[in-house]
Amino acid sequence: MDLDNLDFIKLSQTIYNDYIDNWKKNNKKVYGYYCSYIPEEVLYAMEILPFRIRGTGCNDTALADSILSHFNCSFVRCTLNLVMEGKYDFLDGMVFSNSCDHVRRQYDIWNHKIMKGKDFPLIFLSIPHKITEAGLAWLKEEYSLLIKKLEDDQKKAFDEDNLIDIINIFNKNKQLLKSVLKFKTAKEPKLKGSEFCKIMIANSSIPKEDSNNELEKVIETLKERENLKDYKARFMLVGSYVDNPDFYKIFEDVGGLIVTDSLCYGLRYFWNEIKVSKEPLLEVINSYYNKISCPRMMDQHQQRLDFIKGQIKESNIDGVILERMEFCDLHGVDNMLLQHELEDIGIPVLSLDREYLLSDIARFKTRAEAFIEQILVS
Amino acid sequence: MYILKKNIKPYEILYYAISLTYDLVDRIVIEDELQVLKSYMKNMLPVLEDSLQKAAEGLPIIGYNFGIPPEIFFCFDCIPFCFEATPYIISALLPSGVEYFYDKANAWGHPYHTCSSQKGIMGMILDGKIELDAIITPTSPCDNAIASYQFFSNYIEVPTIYADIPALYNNERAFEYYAEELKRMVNSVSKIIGQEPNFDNMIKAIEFNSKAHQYLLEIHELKKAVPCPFESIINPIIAAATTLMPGTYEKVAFFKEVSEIGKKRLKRHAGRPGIEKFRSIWPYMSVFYDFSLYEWMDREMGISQLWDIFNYYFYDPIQIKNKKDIDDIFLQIASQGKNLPMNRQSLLSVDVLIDDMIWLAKEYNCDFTVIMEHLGCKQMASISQLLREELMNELGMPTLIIELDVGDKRVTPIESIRYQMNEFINTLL
Amino acid sequence: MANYLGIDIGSLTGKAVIIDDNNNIKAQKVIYVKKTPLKTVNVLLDSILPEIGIDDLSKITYCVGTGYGRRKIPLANETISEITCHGTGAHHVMPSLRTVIDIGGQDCKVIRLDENGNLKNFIMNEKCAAGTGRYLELMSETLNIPLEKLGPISLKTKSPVSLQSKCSLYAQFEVISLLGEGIKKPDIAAGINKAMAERVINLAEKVGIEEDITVSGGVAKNIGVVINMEKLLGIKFKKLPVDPQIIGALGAALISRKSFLKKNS
Repeated sequence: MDLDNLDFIKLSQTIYNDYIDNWKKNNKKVYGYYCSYIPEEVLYAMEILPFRIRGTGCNDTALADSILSHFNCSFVRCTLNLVMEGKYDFLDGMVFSNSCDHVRRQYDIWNHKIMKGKDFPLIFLSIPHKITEAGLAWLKEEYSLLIKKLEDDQKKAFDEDNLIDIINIFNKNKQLLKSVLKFKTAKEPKLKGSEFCKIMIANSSIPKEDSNNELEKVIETLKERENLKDYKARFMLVGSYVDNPDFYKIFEDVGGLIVTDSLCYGLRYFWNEIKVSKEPLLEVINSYYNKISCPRMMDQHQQRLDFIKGQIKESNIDGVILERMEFCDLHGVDNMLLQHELEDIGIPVLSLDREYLLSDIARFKTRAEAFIEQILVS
Repeated sequence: MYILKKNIKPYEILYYAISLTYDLVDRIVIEDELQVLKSYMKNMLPVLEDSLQKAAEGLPIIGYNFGIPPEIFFCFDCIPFCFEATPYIISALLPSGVEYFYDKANAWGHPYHTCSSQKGIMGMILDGKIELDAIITPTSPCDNAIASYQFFSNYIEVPTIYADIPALYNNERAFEYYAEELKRMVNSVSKIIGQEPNFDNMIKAIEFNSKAHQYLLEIHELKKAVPCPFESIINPIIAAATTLMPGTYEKVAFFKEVSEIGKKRLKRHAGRPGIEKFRSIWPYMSVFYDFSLYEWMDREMGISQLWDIFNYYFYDPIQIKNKKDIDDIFLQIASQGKNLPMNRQSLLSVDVLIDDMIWLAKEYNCDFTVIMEHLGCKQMASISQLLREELMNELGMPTLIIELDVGDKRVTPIESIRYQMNEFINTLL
Repeated sequence: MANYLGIDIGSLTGKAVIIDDNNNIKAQKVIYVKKTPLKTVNVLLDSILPEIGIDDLSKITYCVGTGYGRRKIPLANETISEITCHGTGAHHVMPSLRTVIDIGGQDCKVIRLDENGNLKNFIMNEKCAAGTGRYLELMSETLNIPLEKLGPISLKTKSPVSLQSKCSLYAQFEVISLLGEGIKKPDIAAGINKAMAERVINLAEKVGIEEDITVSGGVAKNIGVVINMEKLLGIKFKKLPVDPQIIGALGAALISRKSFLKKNS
């Protein structure tokens, strides 16, 4: 059986799925969240399924356009449209954060428009923009407030001992994802970037115990698979949120494999395992606070650059693709810096602006193809 | 001509632009017209002169984000150089003054949609027009600041200190956290430039600011009069004054003079030049690249602009109870800093902005709202429709939203802005 | 005798070039695109094959397709991006070139080459029409003068206007109000060409500009834009010794020969 036939992979095509259905049938809640800085383990320890908001299936943004401006990014626009279409009606709460301005303001929009007058928990986690002792102390208090709100909604106390079990489940998930990743980063890869993207999406859509079982099947399937042939270049994808396998296919169609990344929906999600200690909550906080950052963290540009350089070396990268959603200021400036920093050390870079709804595929392909040709002659 | 040991070319540009324009304005503008502009120019010049003099002496130059509480510079003998205000004031005074620098940044790979205020500074830095000893910024008010200051820090490799300012909260916990961050910032700057902080000088600056604030409150009261005694241009000019001459005697003098201009007019029962037909509040920014818009509004359209974001202050001046109680002073600075224009609107939930606007609209007897939706400001773009709806629901007050870049005429030309305002007036009112 | 074919199907025109074993051009053809890329290819072949005295596709030794329609060319043995083909073609006719600025109907590309004619770096405009031939089309419609006159007419003025808008739609708005103010068309046309040149140079600066430089694509025929670009850079562009429009197809034909020889060595 090949990957595409696995039911698990098919989860990437929809938002709602049978796992959520079963979860909810057992009177358990599902909370949505946007940003990878939201601690899934804490929600899960409160018996809440965290579901990362994505734009899967969006093909029109007319509803969201009535609320947002032309200057908003199309990812947020698409997700808001799905919310307004009712595709996220299964959610029982939302956790927001000051990740970027587009996402942060969704808190206000949910408050004033989507859930106006409804008893629906909207929680905001205020996360520092730099890493310090004081910032950690602030974040600890924020986590306490988050937990308090979850306790109020769930009408039960947070059990820190239980958190250790949950950390173990999530750590196993991260280990399994790293094992899957190896099929992609190997000298002779068996797994394409678009497929890995589907795995990441599916993984974010169901309870982690189930996902862990499914990932084991994925690994078994991949072991049986033949090596990929006929590819011309190995790329690293760096930039803003990507939950669209078709974006990867643009490069695959012209012979480019995306073998590794620095994306919040990719490696950055599972790179740091959480230490298991007697202070599990503190370990969760530390892990999220110090993870491979996104440009929202002002003092961590060097950390991001070092991570990219490490991946380039480890995964034998021929070139880096810097992508960002149009109107993403954070990645816009960070990518500009990265482009110069990488080119200065002789790494070929292709910089792309994109819209969430891909409409410009021919032009993207021309650039992807030329980028490969540029790499091949050097 | 100053022989600068350190390069702050933009302040030189500003200095010469203002001295030349001031001379012209002073000679040709008739009595009682554009008094506010004249007063600004007169008072701004010595502040710039002082900065240039200090740069000639080789004193440290500290680049800062307009969202940082400016009082803290006065702990040091230094030249505070405001990043965001500088390109915008240059764009107001010189027709194509900043475009060269915007294009310079674009050519380096700048994403066109990030705030032009910081883009202008990026271009100036890439062009070798600014040399700095340190850069300080809060982690606010927007993604642009968060992104752009990382460029400054990593490209020019000047020590950059970030004071983390919490999102959402406007309470003691947030003030205390931010106050500690600001204290650490002062310590870091102290180490970088090798000067001990002089808190007496900081307190002096606070006192100047508090005095200026008293006059500002007088100006606020005067604006309630119908017709408004001030020209609309007062708003971008006050924005320039608050960001470019904080903590100075000249700022006090400027606000005092503005207040007197208003009082005189009110005494004569005279409004500003032109007949006031409509009173508008602008929850967000004013247009900087062409100040003629305000004259057009005043004289041809009869629209008074009573407020923009840099003109409404929802905090009390700092009270110095005990000059030795530095902790308390910093706590007050932090609480004020969290509510500085744009920090308040950007960091807190939209409810605060909505309440502020409803209060202003009622208090100042307004007819409509104009939101200048600046290309850089995604935190405002995300909620401008929401604000429009809330104002309509609460007050039945219409809102005009115009998309533009307030510092770059090439994004939305001034003709188009006039056209949109004209259509709005004709259709809705 | 070998016939290496290069076909370039763009958004406005289709081009074909056939070269021999010594890289000499045997035939070249430029036509406006037909309803489908396939139809364009057929019309191109019908007109170019007789020129070298063949009527049979089997006499074509090898074929490389390029341009937007490159995947719709049935006889293409392989496809190569128009960016590489442009670089290869331009380098062949002028080995001293290091930068090729190609301004087509829908997009603008800046191609950097090394001394061997290999692609060193490139950039392509994002979706916006400003800085592409589309911008000039919109402006010439607004001015109500034929596109091909936009260049020559702009030379007749000594007082060009300065167009401020970056956005094509706002620029149209600006042109309309300038016409309303009674500004003469040559003055406006000169402003349009200058604005266009500024956009292109702005893009080019992102990958750096190295001499020698040439401009190709449809917009290269607008003398007003070219002169303005030269002024902005303070550099004289090199004039290609062949029709600039066939450069992509020529590059494809050259790559076609190289590929064939490599595969059969």
